[in-house]
Amino acid sequence: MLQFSSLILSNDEIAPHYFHMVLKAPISSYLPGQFVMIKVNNTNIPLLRRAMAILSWRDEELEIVYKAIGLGTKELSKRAPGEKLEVIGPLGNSYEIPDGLGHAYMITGGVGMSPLMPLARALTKKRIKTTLFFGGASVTDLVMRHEFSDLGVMVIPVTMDGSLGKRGLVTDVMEEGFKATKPDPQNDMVFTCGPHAMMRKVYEIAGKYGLKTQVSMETRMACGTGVCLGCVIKNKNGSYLRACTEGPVYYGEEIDWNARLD
Amino acid sequence: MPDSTKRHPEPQQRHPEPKAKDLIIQIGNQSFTNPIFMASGTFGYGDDLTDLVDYSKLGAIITKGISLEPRAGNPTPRIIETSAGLINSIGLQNIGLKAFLKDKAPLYPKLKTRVIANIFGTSIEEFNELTDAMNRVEALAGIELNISCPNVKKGGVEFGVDPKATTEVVKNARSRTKLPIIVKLTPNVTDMTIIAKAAADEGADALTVSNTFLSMRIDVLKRRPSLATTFGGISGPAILPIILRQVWQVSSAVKIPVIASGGIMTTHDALEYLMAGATAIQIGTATYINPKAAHEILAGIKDYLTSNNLTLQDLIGIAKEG
Repeated sequence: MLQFSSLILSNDEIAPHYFHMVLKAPISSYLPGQFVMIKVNNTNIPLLRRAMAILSWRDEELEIVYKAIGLGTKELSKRAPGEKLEVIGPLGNSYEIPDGLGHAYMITGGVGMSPLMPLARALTKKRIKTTLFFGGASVTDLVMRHEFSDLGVMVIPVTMDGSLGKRGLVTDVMEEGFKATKPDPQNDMVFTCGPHAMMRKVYEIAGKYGLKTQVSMETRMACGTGVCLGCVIKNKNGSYLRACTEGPVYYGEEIDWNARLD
Repeated sequence: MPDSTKRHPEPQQRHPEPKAKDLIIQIGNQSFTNPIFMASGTFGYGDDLTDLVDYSKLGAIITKGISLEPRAGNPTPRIIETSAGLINSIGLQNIGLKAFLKDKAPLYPKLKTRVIANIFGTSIEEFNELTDAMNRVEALAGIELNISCPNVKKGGVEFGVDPKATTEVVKNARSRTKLPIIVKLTPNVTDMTIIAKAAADEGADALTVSNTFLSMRIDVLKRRPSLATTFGGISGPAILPIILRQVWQVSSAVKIPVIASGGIMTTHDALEYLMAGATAIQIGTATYINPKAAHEILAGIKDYLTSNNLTLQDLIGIAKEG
């Protein structure tokens, strides 16, 4: 974990409301699923840093993708190359790639794709067959889908408006896919990041087919460093584990899916 | 080149020794190298931020509130951001006394700063048991009595809003320990000086002013409170002017040191509190945003004192003079 001031190299709108930012960052090691905390400006509004999944971090360049929808992300979208941002990271645990993994099924919606990109890179490097069910309201929500394809990931686009791929919910298409291909419960695994309701459904469908699911949880977060206990996720056993430290990646069966998150 | 110093002898330095050197403060029978403490609940048990924080620059760390039994804490969501503030309802999630003594307390003799244990009980008996246990912790520099957490449902008496209950809990603690006793007050009362005097009269060594203000927000889209517990305590720069007023009032009403805790983000904020009468300050929410905030504020206070040729003692309450 490092705290540093980071030069913005670029901050481009790659699709309506979706931004790709590149920052100069002094470290080179991180794990797929980890995140950074970024102060989006140097005022007290917003007060807190924002958690951003790491899309990539190589040659001292950190990349993130975010959707400018709230106070913090809209503020971040106004930052220009040449400005500096305060960054802490890398933080949190990571997706696990078990030995002997057969087929990796990734399911995401919109900007949830971000932590799956480094995972896809790690999986394809190990020559593990990887499929991505990529959902969104419209084609413009399926950002960086070509980058996944370029890695050798089989991308199955799903849009609510039918502007690309199948029309409907990504979880329905995932279920149809599982029905047709019959994944192997011994060796295959599901990896997901996206809206809470989508991840819950993904976990349920995967469970029906006997597959384990690794989920990256999104929750309100204050410090990101383990001290505030604000970002906790309720476990099945009633205990609360910090998303910033014991998470953000959990196995689906660990989580009490009925607990309110926002 | 002629030696200029001979023709223009150096004027005698007005201040050969900058006064600011000495930032040591005394609370009860313990001294601290500087007046900047890490607030309870914002720095874990002192072993979380070792990567980012230079402990040798901290006056003290105050632990997360410790109760006799472990507490799971409140349901989620527990936090909501607000303009220049943070509302939390953590509910004193903590590992409990047994795990604290086994896993955390043994680390303290080796830390490069001092540790004050924040303890929380729902009865006098629980406070007593916790106080007795803390007496046996090696290298502990004090006990902060948490009689003011806004996020815990009444287990028995709500000590912090009742002068008589405050008297009882402080009197009991005083009879059981020689360690400094710091009482963390609640701002959720009409007149904080009444509780402050009750604590001081029973032998408290210092008062923390203060805990968080009860507050809430509503999620307009979902049409329900933003926090699972409806109410939480607000901290951060939003509350600074109110706590500042209370530090002024409490430090005028009692003779023991007041430790200010309320939205300190910068050196400027810290100076205001010292000038209002605080002997020390606690950094809390600022650590979430900048783990190095305490370092920066310490350096800033040193600079201020040096350039103004003041000691820390000169500064305390200076705004009340004249």
